[in-house]
Amino acid sequence: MQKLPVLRTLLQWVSDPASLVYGRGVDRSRIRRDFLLNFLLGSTLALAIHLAPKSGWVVTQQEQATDWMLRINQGIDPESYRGVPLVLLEIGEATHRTWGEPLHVPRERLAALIRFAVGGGARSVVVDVDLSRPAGQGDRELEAVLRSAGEQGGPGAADIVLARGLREPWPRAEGAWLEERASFLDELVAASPRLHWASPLFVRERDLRIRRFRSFEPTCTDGVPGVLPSIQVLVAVQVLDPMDGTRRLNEALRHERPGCGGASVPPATTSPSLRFGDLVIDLRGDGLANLILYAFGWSESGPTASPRVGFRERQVPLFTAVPAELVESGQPLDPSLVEGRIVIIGASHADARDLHHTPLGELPGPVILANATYSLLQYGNLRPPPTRLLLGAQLVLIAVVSLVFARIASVWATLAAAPLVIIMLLPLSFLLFRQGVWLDFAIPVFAVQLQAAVKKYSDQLSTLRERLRNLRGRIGSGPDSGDGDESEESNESNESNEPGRASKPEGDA
Amino acid sequence: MTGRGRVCAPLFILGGLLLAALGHAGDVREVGFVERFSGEPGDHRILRGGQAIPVAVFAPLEVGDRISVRAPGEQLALRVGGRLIELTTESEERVLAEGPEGTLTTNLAVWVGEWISGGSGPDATRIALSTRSVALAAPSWGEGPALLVAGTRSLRLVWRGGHPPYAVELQRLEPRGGRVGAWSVEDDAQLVTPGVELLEGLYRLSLRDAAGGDVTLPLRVVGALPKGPVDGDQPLDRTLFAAWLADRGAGEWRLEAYQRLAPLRESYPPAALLADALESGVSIPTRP
Repeated sequence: MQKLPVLRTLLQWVSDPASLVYGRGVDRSRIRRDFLLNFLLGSTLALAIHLAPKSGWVVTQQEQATDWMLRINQGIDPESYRGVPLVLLEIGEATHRTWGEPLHVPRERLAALIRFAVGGGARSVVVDVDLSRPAGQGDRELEAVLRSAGEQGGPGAADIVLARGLREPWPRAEGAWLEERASFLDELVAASPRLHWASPLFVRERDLRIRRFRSFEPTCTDGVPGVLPSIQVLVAVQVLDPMDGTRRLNEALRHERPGCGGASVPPATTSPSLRFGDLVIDLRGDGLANLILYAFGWSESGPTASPRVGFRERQVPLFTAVPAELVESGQPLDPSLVEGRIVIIGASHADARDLHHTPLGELPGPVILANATYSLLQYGNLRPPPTRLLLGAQLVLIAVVSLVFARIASVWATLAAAPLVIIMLLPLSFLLFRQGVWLDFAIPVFAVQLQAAVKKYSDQLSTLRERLRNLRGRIGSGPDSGDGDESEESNESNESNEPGRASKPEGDA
Repeated sequence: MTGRGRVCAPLFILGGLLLAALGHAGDVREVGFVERFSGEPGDHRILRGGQAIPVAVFAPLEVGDRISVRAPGEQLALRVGGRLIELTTESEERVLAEGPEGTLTTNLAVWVGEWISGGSGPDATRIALSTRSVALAAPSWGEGPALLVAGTRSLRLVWRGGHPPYAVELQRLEPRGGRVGAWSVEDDAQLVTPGVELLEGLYRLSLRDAAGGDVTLPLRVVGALPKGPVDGDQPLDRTLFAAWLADRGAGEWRLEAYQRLAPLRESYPPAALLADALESGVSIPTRP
């Protein structure tokens, strides 16, 4: 017997499918009208938010959403990977103390690390160490190792990318562009096609987190314009196109030189984008394009769980950190750990002052470099979904939210709308995120909240008008109109009991 | 189900399992590397598919590798999935297994857990301004080995840096070993021990913090103090004697000097000044 009401409801739904949307026994024309009004309101607001300049609360929401998405996606194996694994020869606390806590990385030790990486067959070697100032006898050894590495030919030879020292112009008013610090290695680097300077600079956001990379750095040194590719962009193009990547990048960047000291700037005749198969690296990418899709974090004891990627018919950790001091341990070394991989030499110890806030917590500079390189190799630039998908998803969301507002009281609708949007968008967002596509769910949530607020105040305004009208009616009809008032109140009471009464004002006792 | 169906179904399942097993066998998974080892490479053994592979620093390790230390007293350290595994001859042969795989569900569960506990998300990490400024240190103990005078006495111990809570332990090594006392300090960087009986002999004083930092000081308890240039019980005399004591030799009497200055620091400012100097590791220039 208890099943009878359920059966009856089902039969009613079958006989009247529209009742699924409207509910039963309600004023459908009112719901239709409310729905249309809500839909128009929501669409207008969403359009206004999309067209408005992104700042303030919306940007904060967007950043928190991307941070959260990165946290939830860290450490997960990608389906495929077009790059090569990364190895950090880590100058960590143990190494730093074993070396006697030197002020600068000892050059002879750095030379040994580069020799190991190049000798082991690394694909690219990134030296994330300041090399702008000479540091004694060890400089000769470093020069010798770099010269030897730079003379190696053939497609398998390693490219060596050195972090360029950059500084602000002084006095500041002298120019808007950074200056390149001269180095004792300048002549050597200029003479070798295998040795490259690159910029280690990233973008630090207002909340001091590093979320985005820079593709290149225009410079003005002694009035001479120049442009440095960023380390991750240079390494990525070297891996994606070993034969011609560096030349193509330099060619594209030639047009990005700033005008300084009256020097002429070549006209931009080519696109600042580089295409490698289906992967595009846009050198003038916007805030979204340059977002780093962090894949692995760091803790005091070293890297956190790294995703695994396919490499030479094996599954290997995407990122491996090895203590740099072991290279000089005097014990036999197995170089296969660096063979064919990107090797980064850099510091993680606290005295290096190279620890930065990121969406995955505090990361040493070389780990951020590794993440940015992976992000570029795997996804290129992060991109928004196709406009059709974006608009379609947005319209569906607005329709659902508008129906919710038309069917239930706005106070409950307000509470339900944002979680509903998140629940609907998250799976799609997760799916697209793994493809390097960022479906923003912050703006829809914001649009819904705004829609709820506008709806709420519009309801209250209607209520006020209605009361005002009633009050005028009472004043106009005098004391004999008591029946009419009762009738009005009775109507209100009836309406408020209706299911699906959307314009019921809250708290109008 | 027909008779043929009854036969075919298990065959399909068996075949599927066999194919899965073969697929898995061809799926080589690198999980870590050899970080360091003591002795010679031949003192250790890594077996892969029944074949021994050369032991070397950075040698990649794969799932299924069987690893052991063969020579007594030697050690082998492996880094597997970011975790350090140390093997000795006492350890059983280690067979490397697949580490936990990062999944969306795991990450969500971790995030929810942190969110509920108000927890230790990325924002809760400490800012590393300088390792040196926070490293655990006890300059007033001296470099060691330190000298103390025998007797039943309360020790005043002060340190700086590190992460509370701290654990302090005093152990007697010779002539008869044993723990003299162990104390826990919650959130202060000092300790006044209850009276402990110090007999002539060798001791070890150790301090550990919550982050794994430690300071260890070898101690020799002797029968008497050296004869000093001043002798008296007035605060000035005691302070001068403590300053002279702290400057003796290579600083082996610093801890004893601090024991003599600390009780005076509230009532006698010069003693407080000298105690502060010892606490911060400043040497006291008493000689021209």
